[in-house]
Amino acid sequence: MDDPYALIALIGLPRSGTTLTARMIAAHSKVDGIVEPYHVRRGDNYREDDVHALAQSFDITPKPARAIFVKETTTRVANVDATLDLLHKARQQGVPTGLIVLLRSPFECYLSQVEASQKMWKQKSMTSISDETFARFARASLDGMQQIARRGRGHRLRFVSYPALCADPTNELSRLMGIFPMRFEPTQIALEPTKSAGGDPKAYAKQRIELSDRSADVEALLDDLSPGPDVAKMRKLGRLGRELATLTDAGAVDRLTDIVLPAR
Amino acid sequence: MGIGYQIVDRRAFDYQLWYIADGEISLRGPKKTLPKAPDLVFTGAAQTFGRFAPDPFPSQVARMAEVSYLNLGISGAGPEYYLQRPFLLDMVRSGRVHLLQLMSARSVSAGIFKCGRNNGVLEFLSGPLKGEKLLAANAYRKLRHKYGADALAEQVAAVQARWVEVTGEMLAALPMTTYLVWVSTAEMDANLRDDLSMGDFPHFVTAEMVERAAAGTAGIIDCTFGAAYHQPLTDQISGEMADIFDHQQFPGRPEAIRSFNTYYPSPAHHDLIAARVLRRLVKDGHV
Repeated sequence: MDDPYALIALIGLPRSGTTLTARMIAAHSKVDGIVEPYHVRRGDNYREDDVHALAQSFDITPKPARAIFVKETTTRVANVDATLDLLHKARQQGVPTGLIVLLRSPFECYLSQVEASQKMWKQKSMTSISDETFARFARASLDGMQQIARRGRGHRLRFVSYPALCADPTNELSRLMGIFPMRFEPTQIALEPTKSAGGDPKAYAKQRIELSDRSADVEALLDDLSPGPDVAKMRKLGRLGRELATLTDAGAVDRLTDIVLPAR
Repeated sequence: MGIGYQIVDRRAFDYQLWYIADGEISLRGPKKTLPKAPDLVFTGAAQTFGRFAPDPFPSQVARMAEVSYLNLGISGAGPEYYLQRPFLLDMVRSGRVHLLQLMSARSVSAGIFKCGRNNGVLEFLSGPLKGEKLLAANAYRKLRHKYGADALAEQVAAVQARWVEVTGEMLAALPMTTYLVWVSTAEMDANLRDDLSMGDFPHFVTAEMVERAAAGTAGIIDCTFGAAYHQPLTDQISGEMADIFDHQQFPGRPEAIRSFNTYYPSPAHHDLIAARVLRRLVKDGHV
């Protein structure tokens, strides 16, 4: 019997490094990547949950021993829901499925989101730092992560910290490729500027895997934000990202569940 | 950049491989922070790695003893695999107690065979099949058929002598408390066959060879698990039996056992091995 193709999804907070990570994963010779299908087509209320139909609508034909890779962010909880629906249905059809959860300091992601909203996005919905914009960002992030905690366990899971990936791309990307399962290819980290295929346009210009240091800005942000349950949860989410090195994937999803689901 | 069993066994197991040394070495997951000074370090082949076992014996022993550990079990490995990678030896030396699973003499370079990258693949160095690379079991089968019984006997003697040398070299490079762990379906010497067929794992390793290797170590832990076993391998998605041993890679395997593990320790065997290793470590006051 031929190896079946696999469906692997990656979800992270917006501005957490999902596009660059997706770019590296999709650079594998046996991976067909689709970047933010639900976000890009949100205007049409696109919710395709059949992997064959989704692939076809992006001019991809699922083939044995290859993988379809979908990347989305928690920008809209509907994107996360749709991605989980896609994984769920594929699994019911006998397709091996996996979910990669990318974590980075949520405060860094928020600051980057504000910056991107000011400079890059057409939709200017989050152009200033304030309790109100942070609350919106936090709610979308936590709602998305809540869906992962509730519905992501049916799939093979890999949690990855974006700083860890930047610090050790070969070993970390090799580990992520194990979920497909495929051997890491060195060309995956040999980044050449390329045409944007969705997501963060700046990620396609990058030739190096690097992490901007926003620690001073994050400290200032934390001084300014009014304390509240969402700020506390976002802090815990950040801590989870930093502690991934000491956790198994099963341990990480348990911790995520404790953070984002209500206690009772 | 090994991924081996993760691909072959993908329908039934997710080994959650993780990588060290710039992707050169894949280790059995789940991923963990490398302990600076692990209490226990395990080296060995697929049995230590834990093929077809959700909870291999190294993790069980460490968990039950509540100590830190490193599982450096590598599929197909022989002692040369470690000797050729000084950073792996450094990792072993960082530990307090070393448990070395006795590896197959099939997985050493000697006589007509040179081991490939992970020691599980052998290359013919001379004769009609010169240059051909095969999995060890197939290579020895072809050696017997194409080169004859005398050549096979010579080869077995060569790898046995070399096994003692390289196991000795490996142990000499690791001057710490070390136990040799015998993991096999058969007791020592009962793993051998008079007709020079492969016998049981660790192939071609005799009691005398083990005794010679054991000099200077803390001793041998006998984990003979004996019982016949047919571990069903089920598809994680459908729950149905999965033909892990497919026609392409295993053309000679009987149809009836394509979805059974009949070679590696089953999960129940890992429980048994873990119990025996733990008992010895407790008895000797190491945990």
